[in-house]
Amino acid sequence: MSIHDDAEKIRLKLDEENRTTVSVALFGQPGAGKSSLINNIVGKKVAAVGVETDKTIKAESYEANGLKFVDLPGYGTKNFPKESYFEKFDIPKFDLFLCVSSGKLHQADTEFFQELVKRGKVCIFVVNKHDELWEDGVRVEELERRKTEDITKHVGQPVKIIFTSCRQGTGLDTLNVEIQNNLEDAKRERWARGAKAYSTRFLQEKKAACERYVAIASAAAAANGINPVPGADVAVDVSIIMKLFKEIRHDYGLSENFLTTLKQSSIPVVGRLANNVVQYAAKEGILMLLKSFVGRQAVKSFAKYIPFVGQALAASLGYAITSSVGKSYHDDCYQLAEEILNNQLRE
Amino acid sequence: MWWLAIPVIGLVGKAIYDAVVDESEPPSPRRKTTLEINLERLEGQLRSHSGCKIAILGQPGSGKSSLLKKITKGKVRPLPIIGVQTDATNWASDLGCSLLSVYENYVFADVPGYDTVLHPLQVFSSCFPFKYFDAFVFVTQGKLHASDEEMYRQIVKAGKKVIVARSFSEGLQSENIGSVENDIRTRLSIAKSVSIIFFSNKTGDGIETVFDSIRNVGSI
Repeated sequence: MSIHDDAEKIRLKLDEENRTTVSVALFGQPGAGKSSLINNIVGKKVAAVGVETDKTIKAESYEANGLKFVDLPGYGTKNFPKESYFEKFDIPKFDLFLCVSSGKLHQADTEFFQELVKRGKVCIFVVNKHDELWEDGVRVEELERRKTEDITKHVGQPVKIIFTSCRQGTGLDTLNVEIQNNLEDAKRERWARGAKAYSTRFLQEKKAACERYVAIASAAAAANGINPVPGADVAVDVSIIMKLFKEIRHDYGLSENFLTTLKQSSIPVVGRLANNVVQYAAKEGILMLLKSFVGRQAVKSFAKYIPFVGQALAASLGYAITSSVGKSYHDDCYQLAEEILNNQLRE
Repeated sequence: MWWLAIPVIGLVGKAIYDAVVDESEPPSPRRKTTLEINLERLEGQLRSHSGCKIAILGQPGSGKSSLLKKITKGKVRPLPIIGVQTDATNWASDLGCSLLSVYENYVFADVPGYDTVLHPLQVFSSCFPFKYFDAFVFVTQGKLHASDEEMYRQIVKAGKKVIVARSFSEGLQSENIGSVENDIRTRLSIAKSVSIIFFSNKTGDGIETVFDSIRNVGSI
């Protein structure tokens, strides 16, 4: 197998990775908190939230970190009658559905859910605004139990119900894990990369998914010899690395504004890591980083990625450099994300 | 050979019988649902009551039953049914369920939340005896639904006093109250003369104000 075959394969592989998206459709009454939920799932503001009522007249779509969210308009309303609803919004194409409710169940939600079940689609029930679940003299556990019973009775079968509160940040980890568990393999990795980590366990999964992606992207960068690496007789594609770094930052929720704040953090290690992440983001920084890895040994831990990358490419000098660079940048981002999670730092 | 005629006579007889029975059965009208019958029953009960009649209407889970219990300090009889489950107040399953509650000289109808499977909006629109009430407490919660607009239109059509009350005020930041009020006003086209009361069943804020407005109805 020649290096050219490997190179061609790896380019296709990277394209395929980039094309993989997870599409999630949300439905529920106005004010149930669908937009807030989307923002909290990805950990950044993509959907506008507000107290004013907006008449949803089309399916609003949001995209972030390779995840796609669609806010479906009312089922069985004058504008969107039941008969044409499934074709109109191409319901079968979604990977997963979230039925979001914050109060009692409405007719449209119950009916749409039953239709989804009939067609074998995966739908998770989200009872949002858990902080508003309250009744004089009744314990919250008891209310949760009653709520679960109520939903089960309405939809006519046991369903997965997750209680969340966007205001207090509760239940979001459970929700992100539950969504991941209901996706197929390729999409699970995409989900782990794109969704926000609210727990160490999820952060670990994110790390594994990112490492695999780093291996593929750095191989593609090594295969595309465009920019000479200073001090080495080898050329790599810096633009691929630049794009890779940007994606890693997004996957770990490190926005530009957040990084600026983090650089001034009182925790020394946070400031140092944030500095690294910002410094190596630009082309000059990447060249500097590439140069610093020239002449070092190929990183052994990446040997496990040979099946993805190909033997010939994995053994090349370019890959030794790009994979080390990718791994180093990823490690900085991961450690920073770990500190953020442990110290509960906010943007 | 006379017995050969028996099956023939039998068949002819059956054909005649079937034809007669078919004609004698009139086309039966669609059976009324329990909710429709209960709404008719409500109309009858309202006619026979003399007090000030008030209907509490709103989304399921907006806190209508809790509000009624709070404004009457738990003294309304029979007590409303409160619960997080859908259709806690249920007029669609039992033909003997109580529809009206009494407190002092007020008669309250704690109406089940509309737009659920058991309580579809269109049944309320077509069968609810709006004109037999003296006043309406319209409870909203969170964002407005299309069903709220429809229901409010029906209430206004009755031409009686309306009190608009927004529940779960404890979840609103004070700077948002203005925009929430504006939103409700424009969406429902509420007249300037009608005030919108923000209240919370949880903290008790605004409960007094709601009851004062009801008292004003009685004094008119």
